[in-house]
Amino acid sequence: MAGVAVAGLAADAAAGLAPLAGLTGLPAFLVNVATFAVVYMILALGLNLQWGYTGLFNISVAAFWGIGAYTAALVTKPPSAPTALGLNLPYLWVDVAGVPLPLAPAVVAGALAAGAVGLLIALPTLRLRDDYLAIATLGLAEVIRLILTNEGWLTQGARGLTVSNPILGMDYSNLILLGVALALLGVTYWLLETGVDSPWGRVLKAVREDERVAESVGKDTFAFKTQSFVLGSMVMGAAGTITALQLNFLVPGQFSPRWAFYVYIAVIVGGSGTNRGAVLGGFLLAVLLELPRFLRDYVPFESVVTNLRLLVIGLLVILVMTYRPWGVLGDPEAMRREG
Amino acid sequence: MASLLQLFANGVVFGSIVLLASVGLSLLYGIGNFANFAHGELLTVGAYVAYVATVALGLPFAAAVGASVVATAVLGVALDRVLFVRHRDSSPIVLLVVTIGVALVLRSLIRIVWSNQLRSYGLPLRRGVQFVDTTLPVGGYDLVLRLRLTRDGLVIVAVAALFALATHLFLTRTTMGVAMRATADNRSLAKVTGIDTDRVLRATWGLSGALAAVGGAFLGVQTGVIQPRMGFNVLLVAFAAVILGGIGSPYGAMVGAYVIGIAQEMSIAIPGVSASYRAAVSFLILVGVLLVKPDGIAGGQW
Repeated sequence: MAGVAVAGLAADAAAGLAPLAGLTGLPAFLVNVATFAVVYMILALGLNLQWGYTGLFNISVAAFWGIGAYTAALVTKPPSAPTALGLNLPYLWVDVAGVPLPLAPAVVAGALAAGAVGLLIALPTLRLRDDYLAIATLGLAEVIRLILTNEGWLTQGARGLTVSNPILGMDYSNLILLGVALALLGVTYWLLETGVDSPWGRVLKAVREDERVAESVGKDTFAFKTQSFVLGSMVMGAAGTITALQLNFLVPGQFSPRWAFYVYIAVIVGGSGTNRGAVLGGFLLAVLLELPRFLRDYVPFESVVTNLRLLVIGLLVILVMTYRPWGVLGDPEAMRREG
Repeated sequence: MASLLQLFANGVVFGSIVLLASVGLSLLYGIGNFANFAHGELLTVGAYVAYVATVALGLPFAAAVGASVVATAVLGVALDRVLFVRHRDSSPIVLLVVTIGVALVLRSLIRIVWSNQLRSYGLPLRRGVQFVDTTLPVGGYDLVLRLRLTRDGLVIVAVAALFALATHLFLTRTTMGVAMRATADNRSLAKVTGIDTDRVLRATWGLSGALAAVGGAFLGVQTGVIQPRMGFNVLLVAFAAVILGGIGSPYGAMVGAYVIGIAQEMSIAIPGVSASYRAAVSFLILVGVLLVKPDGIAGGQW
């Protein structure tokens, strides 16, 4: 169960029913790692909006990511396929000259579903002290994992849900997916940079640094925190849709709560409170998580490699938080928030 | 249909384990002012130390738990000495992130040493003693009253109550206990009045670890399984108890632990609620409490 998840996503992808094709060997591996890297970057951007810019501690990254992935899987079923909901959902892919691009409808659906759940969790908790949100989102992550595991009619439970991926049969499908992921990353980055540079973004930073001061100048800090939380969750949901298309086969174990910690590491090590830092962190995370897979061919103890990786990640968090809590490219102000 | 009486009793046993987990969590929350996400791993460490002492070294189980209490308390103090002493002035969120790092390190170390394999204390299985087994006709319905208790369950409840009492006496009758309460109340004031708050926090880590060790060992007895995720699985339940009781109030946490434990076990009896969603019950209670009474039962008071 948890042990299966430790083996990681790329391994699941490699063992998946129908891997993306086009390139083979090392180039395919690198394209695969690059796609993971882009997904981590998008996740880190979403978390950075919540945590880096607004100081909201969200531990449900995996939940929002999983909601996005499962939503994409559910809405992309072709019209003939029996759908999980018993409804005949419309086929949301849009063909452009035979190529099912843009993939925007699935991405939008994944983002909206994650955003809706984000709103549900934000409303009761964001008025309370910071750590309540942390604990409530830890609970949400567990509940989402339980739902994904137990609601077999919707998610196929632990047996896993096959994604009917329209780019699967195409030439260079792995490159196409990387292109789609990069486009999503570009759009997300541009939107977030524009957002945080605007007066809206300055209010978020004010909330992060001192909520009472922001309130005293007449800002409805609850509204700003809710917007930041929901938008960040939507970005994570969008990242999940890419994951659905990359893995083609979703099992609940892939979205275990542990992933929140990985993405925190990306944000914290890269630098809380800067989007550049989040992108750098996402890249470092991919290097840290995916490249050690090479080692598996040389080291006989696979579980030791996997667990050493976790150990290194944990130590990295402790060291960075102790000696440079604002990260490599971070904004020192981002971590000076008084509790 | 399960007997409600039986489910209630199961809830009291589970609540006793949650109590052991949540009192330490609550003390650290109140005195150190941060949420310790590594607390679940302290339970796991406690369970594994007891495992080594009883299975590998052949100690009687009670002695193994004693060894585990000492070892886990030492681990708590060591964590404070090496790491958390550097974070006395860090914001609660920085501290929270550090505890997550500690949790990852501890869990991967446990996995490296013992792998993911399920283990057990191999204690002899004892049949429970049937206390009640009757059916009462109540207004046309047959109310099933059945209660079977095992010796393990009774010991868990008794020992947890003993630890709760000991914690109470420690907090009210000893100098260190009084210093802890003063520090929880106002750390800078406590410092000014000559209390060594550094020592107080170190002792809190030790006490927290000691309580977690017993909780972890009992968890291994009750579920019959020792595995690297066991403590983390209880962390959310413990947090729910702490919040329900009012953050930082160990007495509130004790009450919260029983409420959550009983609610979780009895939720099975609700028609349409599958047992696999038991773990979600504490989350629902938690969010409900946050909505209605965010200060919890004790309202942040001791």
